Amino acid sequence: MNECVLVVDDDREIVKAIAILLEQEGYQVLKAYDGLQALDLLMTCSVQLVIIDVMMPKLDGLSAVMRIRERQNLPIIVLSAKSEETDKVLGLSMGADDYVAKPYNPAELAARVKSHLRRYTSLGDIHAGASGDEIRNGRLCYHTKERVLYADGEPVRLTATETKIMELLMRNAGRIFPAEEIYRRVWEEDAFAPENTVMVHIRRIREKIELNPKEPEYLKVVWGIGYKIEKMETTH
Amino acid sequence: MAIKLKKWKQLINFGTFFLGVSLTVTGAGQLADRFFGYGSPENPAEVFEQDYQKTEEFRWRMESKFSDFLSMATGDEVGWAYGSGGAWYDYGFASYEDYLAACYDGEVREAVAGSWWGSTDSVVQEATREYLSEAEASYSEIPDEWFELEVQEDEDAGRRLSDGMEEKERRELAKAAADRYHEAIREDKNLLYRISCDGKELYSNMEDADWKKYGDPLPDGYNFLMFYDGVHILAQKDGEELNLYGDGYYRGEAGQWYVPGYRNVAVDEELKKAQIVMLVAKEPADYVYVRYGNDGYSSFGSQLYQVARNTRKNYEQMQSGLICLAAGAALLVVSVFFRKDRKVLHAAIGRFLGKIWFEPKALLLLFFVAVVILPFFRYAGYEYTWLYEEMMYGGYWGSGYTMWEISRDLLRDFASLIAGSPLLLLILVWGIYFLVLDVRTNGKHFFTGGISRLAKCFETKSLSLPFTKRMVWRFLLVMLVSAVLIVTEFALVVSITGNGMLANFVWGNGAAAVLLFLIPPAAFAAVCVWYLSRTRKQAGELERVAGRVRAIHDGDYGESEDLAGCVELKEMAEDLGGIREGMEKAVEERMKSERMKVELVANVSHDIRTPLTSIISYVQFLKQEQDLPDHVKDYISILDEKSQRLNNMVQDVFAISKAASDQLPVKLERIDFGKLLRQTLADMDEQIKKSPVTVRAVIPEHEIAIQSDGSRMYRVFQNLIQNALSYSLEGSRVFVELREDASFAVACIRNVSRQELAKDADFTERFVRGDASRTDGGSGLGLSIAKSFTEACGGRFEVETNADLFVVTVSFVRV
Repeated sequence: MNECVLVVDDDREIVKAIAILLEQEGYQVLKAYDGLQALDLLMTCSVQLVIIDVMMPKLDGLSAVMRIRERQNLPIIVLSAKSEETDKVLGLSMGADDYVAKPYNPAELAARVKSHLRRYTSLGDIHAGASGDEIRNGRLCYHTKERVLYADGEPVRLTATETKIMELLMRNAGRIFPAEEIYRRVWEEDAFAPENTVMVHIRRIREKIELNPKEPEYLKVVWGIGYKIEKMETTH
Repeated sequence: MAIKLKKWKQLINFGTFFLGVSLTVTGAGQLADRFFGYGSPENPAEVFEQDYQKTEEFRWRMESKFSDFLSMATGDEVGWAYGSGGAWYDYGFASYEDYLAACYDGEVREAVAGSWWGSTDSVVQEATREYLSEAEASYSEIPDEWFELEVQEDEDAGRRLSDGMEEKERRELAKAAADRYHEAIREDKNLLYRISCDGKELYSNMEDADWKKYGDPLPDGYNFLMFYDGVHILAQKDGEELNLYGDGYYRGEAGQWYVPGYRNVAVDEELKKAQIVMLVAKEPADYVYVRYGNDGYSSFGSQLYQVARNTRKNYEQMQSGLICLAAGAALLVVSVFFRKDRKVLHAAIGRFLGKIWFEPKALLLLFFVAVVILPFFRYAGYEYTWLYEEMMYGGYWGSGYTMWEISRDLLRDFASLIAGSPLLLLILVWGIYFLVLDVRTNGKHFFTGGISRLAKCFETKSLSLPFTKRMVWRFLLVMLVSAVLIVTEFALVVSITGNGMLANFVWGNGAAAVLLFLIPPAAFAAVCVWYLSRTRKQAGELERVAGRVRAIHDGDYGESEDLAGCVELKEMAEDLGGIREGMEKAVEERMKSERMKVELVANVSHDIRTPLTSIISYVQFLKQEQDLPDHVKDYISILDEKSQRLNNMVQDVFAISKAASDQLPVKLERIDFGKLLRQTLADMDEQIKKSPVTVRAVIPEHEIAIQSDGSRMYRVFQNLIQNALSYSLEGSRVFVELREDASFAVACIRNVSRQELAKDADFTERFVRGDASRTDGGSGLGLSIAKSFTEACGGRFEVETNADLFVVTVSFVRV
């Protein structure tokens, strides 16, 4: 049976659009148009993921998220026209797992839904079986023995150089590496103007691991300093 | 009725108190005067003496008379002035000036100082000469000390006693003086005398019947007898024998008779021939002898009568003092029972006194000081001229007075002056009483009066003047007063140092001099103090206003208590308050409008995004449709493009409004400017390669550290480079250059515009672009965002155009 996604937004066209998008991906979609309705549906139906708007009549999105979190542990993606950093932080602190700003990128939204569902439904055992051979960070997981990077449990096809870069960064998640250092440690030689070379590889890796390569969550450029992999908190 | 009764009761009560205090004070003063004042006896017991013949004064009067009579008996000069200061005044000289003149005349130098009866003339003359030569060596003028000298003058003006005079001639002169003396006192029947030598009676004012020989009863009205038989004095009083000699040795003690007859006193043979009888009346009658001769006028009174009268008076004074004291004490005791009523009355009196201006009180006080102190000073001025010499020459006479003794005497004199005069004493006591009452009841208001009211009036008037005028007026006033005072003082000094009546008066009165010299400087000091206090107040307020101005300058528009108390600068403070309020309001309004603007933009962008979300979503679905005619696909791609642009614009507008209202959160950290540029270029590598221009980067390899927010600055350079790529002339080169100087790191992006740049256009203005038609891709906000972000990160953003050359400079302070 396909996973069931609950989409909540007071704008019916948006709900419909998201529903079309997700149905194309093969999910079952439930629709609600305010917070209370969403809570009712959650009580009666089996739902694996919730996409919820913030500004809604009757019960607003953030309150609804809190109410849902009181009983259920399913992934929640907050969808909001408020795009500011503070709104994002607020949403995440209320118990949401992800935050997508409107207008959303359909492909990104679909990818996020997929990612969350995979982790929620089928990766439970991977969480449990964490061992010394793995470096885990959010949806990424690097197997040091196999020298394979997994995203959402699926192996990512990386070139040898890309794998080396990812190994370096994954082993030191959160640490910022200047391009020179990355070049020296991966290519094992000094380089003149390595910025371009490193940047090209970074961009390529992003295409493979990030849900939205234009707004990377993991592989980030620290402007004026270097590059790093964001250290994620494992939410569930 | 009850009130009236109460009033009466109060009046009586206060009357009792008033009378009690007055009587007590008067009585105490009288007694104090009697015991310690002038003419108070050496022996305190004598205060209660009613019999004048038992007083000290009587004793030494008798001694001196006896001494004179002894001289008359032996044919020596009459030294009757002996022991009585001022005797010359009674006899011989018509006036003090005559006496001075006589002193000045160098011939009158026969002094009897240190003489003892019977000592030979040569001894006396030797002593006198010695003294005078010493005195002359010390003083070029007549020394005041001569006043102490007993000087004798012959009645014969042409011939005077002098050195080397024939014994016979001297005897004649002495006899003439004695005769004259006898003539003067013989009619004074208070003292009967008989002076004999070798049994021969020389002088007498007695009838034989009165008294013949020792042992006879004294005549009526006489009760005191002194009989000198050539060896001893036999004395009788009220029929009883008196022993004048005590144990028979002379020690110079108080109360001892200074007469011959002691065992340790040697007496010349000459004196043994003399026989003197003196009879003293029990109650002496007044007797005055006045003579008007060719040598001037002189008068002579009965000394015994004066002694008796003084004794009686003193006794009466003491008696009345005691009575007053007793009555006063009794009244005070009574008034103790009415304490409470008196308190009410005191309050009433205090209130009444408070209504009186300060000036009359001050005048009264001055008057009082003048009445009490001036006479004292004048008196002291005359009486204590010797004090000056005492202090200057350390006691020429070897009197051995110490400063303490002198000041004690002065104080004693002062006290006895006041104590002896009931009126002065009462004025003093009640003056102090009312002064204390006034000050206690009215406190500080004691000083309110005409002048202070006038001053207050002046203050109020002057405060209504503008500040600068007020300062000038005040200063002029001070100058005027100062000038007047200085001129007054100068005139005073000139007139006083000159030789006029005023000078005499002032120098004759120590207190007057002090007052006159002190008043103008004191007034001047008061004016100075006033001016200083005003100026200080002004300065203080000025400082407060200045502090407030500084605070406002620094952006503190809050209300403040500082200026509430300003008096001098009231207007200025009020104006400043107005400015502050205006500023506060303006700033508040600006803040409010900024906030509203951001809120508005946020709301609008939110409201736009919601439908935009639907548009973008459905356009995406449309794009996925396969079987659409080509022109529809074309339309859809336009929709897609424009909806994306709209999305970008909304985001940019939102960002820029936040940045413009300083609400953009920035995270400043130390970054490498060069690396930032290289990263940005690397990140945009694909775009650059696709564009028809070449990018030339000149970026130093080494670190150029600045303090900034990397992600915001990435956005800035992304925009700038994108701009350059979009608007540059095809085939031209874009120069990205990073320079550094001593304190700045400057990034410079130069490109040649494809289109002609409008002159004077501010490219950082929102929605301004090279072409006005706005048909190309940009939102028109790129430069504006770049500028806002740069400034939010603490950098400087400048756009410069030179013909078609477009230059953007971003500079940061190096760290």
